[in-house]
Amino acid sequence: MALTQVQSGMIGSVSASSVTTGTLPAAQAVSGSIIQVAQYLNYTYASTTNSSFTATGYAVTITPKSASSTMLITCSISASQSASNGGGYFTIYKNGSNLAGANGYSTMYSNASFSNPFRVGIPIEITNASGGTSAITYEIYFKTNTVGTVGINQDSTASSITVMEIAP
Amino acid sequence: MIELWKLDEAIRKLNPTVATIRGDIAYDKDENVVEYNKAAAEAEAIKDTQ
Repeated sequence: MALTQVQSGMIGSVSASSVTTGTLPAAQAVSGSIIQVAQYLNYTYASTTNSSFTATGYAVTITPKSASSTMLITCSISASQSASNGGGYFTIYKNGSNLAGANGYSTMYSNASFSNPFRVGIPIEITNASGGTSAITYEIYFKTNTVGTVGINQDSTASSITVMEIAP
Repeated sequence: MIELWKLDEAIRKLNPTVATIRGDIAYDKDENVVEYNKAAAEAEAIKDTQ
């Protein structure tokens, strides 16, 4: 059996640049670094005529590694509106609750001069405290301004929601 | 190929209780599933383009 003898001077601090293998525990991650990423991207069409926020089906569930992390949520929404003077509103729900105000984070409006359906790309980018280490579901919701139908993913386009956990 | 928004309009025209569509599944305003005839909706969508 091979033995290793610890000699004077062998135990001490090691430069981070010398560590080339292994996985750093989340608790030791450098503040501001990304601990984990989760994304849902899909081409599935969805639409609503509801004037109250309705789930799109575009959701990400993530379990924070730290209770004090910051969650960066970004959405890329390929949006459409069927009617002239029709509007659309988009927001993000966290575990079934709207994180924004009554009209969400972003809006679109189809001017009468546009041919329908009106299409536009909608970005949303927010941060949210992890607030614990239980699983969190973030989902894109949408609604109309009571006119027309608001949709996502016309013309075989895609929408996505991405969640990044940032070390405290 | 039928444009999605044409099919969407046809589904809603033939099934007025439909409020939301996610993929191929339609729902009313209370998120109850609304059964619909997809072939009839596709025929309606094509008719509107002719």
